[in-house]
Amino acid sequence: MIVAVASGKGGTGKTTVATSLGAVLGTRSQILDCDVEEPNCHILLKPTILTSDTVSLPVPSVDLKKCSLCGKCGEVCQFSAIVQIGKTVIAFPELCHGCGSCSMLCPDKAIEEVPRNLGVIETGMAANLEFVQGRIRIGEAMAPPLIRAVKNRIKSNKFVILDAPPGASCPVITTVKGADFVIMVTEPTPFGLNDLEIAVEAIEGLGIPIGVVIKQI
Amino acid sequence: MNAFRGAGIQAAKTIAEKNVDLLLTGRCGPNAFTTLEAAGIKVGIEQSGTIREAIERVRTNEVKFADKPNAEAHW
Repeated sequence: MIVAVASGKGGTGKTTVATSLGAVLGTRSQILDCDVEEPNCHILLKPTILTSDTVSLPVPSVDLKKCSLCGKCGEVCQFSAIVQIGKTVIAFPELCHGCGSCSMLCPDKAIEEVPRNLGVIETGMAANLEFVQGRIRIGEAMAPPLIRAVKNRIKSNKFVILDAPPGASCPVITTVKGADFVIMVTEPTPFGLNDLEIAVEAIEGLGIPIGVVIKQI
Repeated sequence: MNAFRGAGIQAAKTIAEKNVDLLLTGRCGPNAFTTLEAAGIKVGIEQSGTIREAIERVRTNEVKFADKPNAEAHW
């Protein structure tokens, strides 16, 4: 069972709900903090970190001495992360999504894949609860590949809790995709309702059942 | 141009394929500038008003050319 805890608006209590669920379920569960831009489950859970691994994305590096300027790399790239222009080929590694098509299709074998550091994944224990979190490298703009790497640590024999980032964009969708249920946490304010509606609309498209928790102070 | 990111690169590539020598624009971001520079396209910046006025400035050598980008990414 995989439950994602999400919200439209930030600061509604996602992490409070996610960590409370984890605390109640204890040994049976695993909590993964998928809010890689500002992970905060650790503040409440105070886990002992046991492993820390760097996650990277393969991005192109071009050897112009081998390149015949055919331009296939730029034609296949959907993100303009590599472009053949004039007598050269320029790579923009920060735009690359790491699909590998450019190096695979290069007839000159002129493109080498080099790693772009995305951040780290840390695992550990918070009392009897298994803990995983991703922390994005400062300056890195692309969260989804790191979130997918965090979700690769899911243990299917556990009750899995995913703490999602706020909002309704790619990092949220990447987190909740594949979950069996989504708990949306909101607050009874016009802002809470507005952002909840946006996020529900986005997640409904994935066909995942949704429940709502309204925070009252 | 339909691009979440990389619109400047695509635009630069498009005009390079048309064998353009000179681009007149208001601002040019870093990735577009890198691409235009590689294509050997001169970038005339801080242009405003009508196209006629901008072209007149080219004729009278009043255009300022960029040697680096003059706008941030995602400006």
